[in-house]
Amino acid sequence: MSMFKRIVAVLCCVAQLLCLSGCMGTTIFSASHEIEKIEIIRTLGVDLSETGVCLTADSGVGLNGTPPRLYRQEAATLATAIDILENTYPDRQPFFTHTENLLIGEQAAKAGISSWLDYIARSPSMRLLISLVVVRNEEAGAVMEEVMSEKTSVSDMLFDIAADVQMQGAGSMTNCGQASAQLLESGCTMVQAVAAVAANGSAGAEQMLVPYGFALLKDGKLTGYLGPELAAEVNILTGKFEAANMAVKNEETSISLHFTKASAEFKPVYVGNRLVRVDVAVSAQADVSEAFSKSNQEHDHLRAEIEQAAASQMQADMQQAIAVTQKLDGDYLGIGKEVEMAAPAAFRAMETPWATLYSDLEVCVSVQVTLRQTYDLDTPTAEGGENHGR
Amino acid sequence: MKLLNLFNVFSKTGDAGEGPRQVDKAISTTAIQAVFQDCCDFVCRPVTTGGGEKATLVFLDGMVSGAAVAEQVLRPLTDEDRFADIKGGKKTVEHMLSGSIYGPTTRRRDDLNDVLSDLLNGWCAVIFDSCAAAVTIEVKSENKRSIDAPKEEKVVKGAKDAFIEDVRTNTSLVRRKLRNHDLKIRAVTLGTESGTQVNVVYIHGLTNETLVAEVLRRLTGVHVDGVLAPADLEEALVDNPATPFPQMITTERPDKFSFNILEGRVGLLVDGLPVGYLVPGTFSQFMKAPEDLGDHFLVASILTVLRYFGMLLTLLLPGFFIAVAMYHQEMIPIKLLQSMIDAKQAVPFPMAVEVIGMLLAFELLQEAGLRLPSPVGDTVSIIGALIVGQSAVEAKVVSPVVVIVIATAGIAGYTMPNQDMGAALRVCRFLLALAALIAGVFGLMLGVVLLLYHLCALESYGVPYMTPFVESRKGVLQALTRPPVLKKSRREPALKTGRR
Repeated sequence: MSMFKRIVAVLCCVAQLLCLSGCMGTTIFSASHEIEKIEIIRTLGVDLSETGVCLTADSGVGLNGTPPRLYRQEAATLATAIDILENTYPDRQPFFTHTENLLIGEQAAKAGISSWLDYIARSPSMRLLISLVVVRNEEAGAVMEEVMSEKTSVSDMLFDIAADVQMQGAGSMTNCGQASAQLLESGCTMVQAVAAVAANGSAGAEQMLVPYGFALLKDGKLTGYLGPELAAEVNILTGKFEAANMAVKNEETSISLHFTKASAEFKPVYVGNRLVRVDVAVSAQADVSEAFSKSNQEHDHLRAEIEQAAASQMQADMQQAIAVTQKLDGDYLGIGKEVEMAAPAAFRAMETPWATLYSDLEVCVSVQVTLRQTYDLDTPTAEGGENHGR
Repeated sequence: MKLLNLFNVFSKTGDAGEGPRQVDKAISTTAIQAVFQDCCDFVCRPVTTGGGEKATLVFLDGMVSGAAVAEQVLRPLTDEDRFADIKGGKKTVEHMLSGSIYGPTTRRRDDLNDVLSDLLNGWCAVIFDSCAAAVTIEVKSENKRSIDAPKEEKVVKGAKDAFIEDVRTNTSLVRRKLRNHDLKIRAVTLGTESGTQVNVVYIHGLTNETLVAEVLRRLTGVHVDGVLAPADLEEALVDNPATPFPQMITTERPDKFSFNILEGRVGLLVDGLPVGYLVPGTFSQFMKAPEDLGDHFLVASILTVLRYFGMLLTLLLPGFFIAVAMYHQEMIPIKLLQSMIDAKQAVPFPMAVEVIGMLLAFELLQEAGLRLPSPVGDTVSIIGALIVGQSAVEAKVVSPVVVIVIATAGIAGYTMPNQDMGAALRVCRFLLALAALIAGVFGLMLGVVLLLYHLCALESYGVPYMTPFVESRKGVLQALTRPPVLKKSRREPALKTGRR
């Protein structure tokens, strides 16, 4: 083949490629943006409005301290609102590909978020890794305005929460992809809930966002919450535990424990093809982080007391969390999946489907807590006198 | 078959090629004087031999050694004892050729063109008008540059000699490294006006004879006035002169030249050029540095991989940056994107103009640095890099990230061991940046595909340019690394050498 024919062949191929989606339209340059004209949107707040959806978009604080900006748009659908925002500000075009959080107002969450998750899944400019968060008792847009100042915004607060929430045992972030998958699989999911509180506890002070337990969603609609006091235990049950602090009280003293390791093992009990009970065995390791000193002679006794008190407290919290989900008739904690993993054949042969069974199922939780580094409470070393771990 | 026939013809005749225009006259003093009319360096001196025969000594001043002419030619020629009984031109010629004069090489010439060729190559000639014959004696001037250390291909470990402008010195450098009677050096004269001698170097029995014949065939087809610059030969000998990619390996190092001859390549040494050429030239050969054979094979392999990485970086980084900064901002991590946006706020030019402008500025600086004398060139580089670059950033004329991208691409380009390859990559870098400007990553990828297509379509003397990448996985591994010398058992299969 001559060089001329080769060149013509290649040019024909190139011309055909221009027919691909994305290359059609006014000009090929229409897809380009000058970088200085884009405004990165980090958080989308979604509420209900008379027209359908009220979208609030937050840019967050810039790297060089540029104050955050809020954009608001009402439209029939989330997609339309985003489209309008993209084309309204030619000099400062909101840019949604780096969105980190999707913040849903409580009323909007109650109405259902499935269509918005569908938009996130379908849109080429959105990512499934966007964290899904529900605002407790308020509208997302209102909270975004409340917490915004020259130096901070909801995006920065949510960034901090996402970084620490699991280490603090205050919850765990769920992204849109995970939530969508869980909703498709079991119809239930559980996402992080947040609330706006006064920064120093007094009315009129600056507002800040704090993790506030979990929002429970069934068929895409908010059905209830698991309170922040149960967050650490819920993390253990869902396998997302990283660390947590817990204050344990017994008759004489109050001790602060720092849990560093915890796991739950699910053991289904079948009678024939009937699941009669699920035993949940939880084991946790903790260090004493703050305590009133006791004399060395009482170490062993006190240690057992603390372990027992912590175990009882955790057991009660877990039972409560399970009871709430059973009352709401949804396996938000994903216990069904764990039960299936423990005995897949038996699970598939069950007479009653898991979804029907769960609300009345007996779930027994047993907790074993082991104190590792007790510092001044620990058993003395062989040489005597020195505290282990210091 | 035709090629092999040509090879056989060369084997018999030895010298071919299009030399200076031929003079159709018999040998005579008058004829030679007519040829060298208006040449002030032409010396023509009547001489009477010891036997009383009239002759004319001719030579080109400066091309010959005056002392050698006097001691090796004039003194014995005029010695009465030596030539007392020698009468007549023919007998004198025979006597001279039988050893009466001391020149290391003497030749009888009956064709005026041979005499002219010898004179132009630094020989002197004794013309006998009585028998229309001449005796030429090699009395070359030693006015040539001494063998120096390589300037461009320096190594820490390894030989420190480099080719010079004298072809015979260069062939001696190769002979000293390959003391093998199978090392053949064929001479071809090129250039209708310059009559430059080109030597073809190969090892008989090892180098593919078809390759040698093809090189000789192409040399005979070179029709140029003179071979004074590398391009005169390179563009005439390569398969595809239109491509910017080098297709002949050039080196100033006799050791690298000899190593490639051993590998089965054909070498070319041109009188007047202090470089050696090797064919066929393949892409991977231009990524090998001379010090690779001086380093430990692990170090050399890592450096080779690093060079390939540098090649990708210099080729793709500016285009990739334009593509993501203009079309695919979603690919940029958020912190970096924020930083880029903040830095770009005060810059008045579009991103594409910034990048293309900086690429041009980089080329200008490099060109200025090369053209100026070394100390001034260094100063220009420092002024350009530090003062202009920093000032441009501070004055918000360019973004800092653009400076970083262009500087990184530029520095990565300097890892190329071969300057011709580096220059070709710079050309492609521009084209890929333009492709990215037009159509983002799609355009960039399209450019890369076309570039790969172009590279894969190239051939050098029948060997695919992308050898050994297009051969086998093992070949790819060998190209990307430098295997231990003792483990290397085979020459490159693509060269089809006589001995494996």
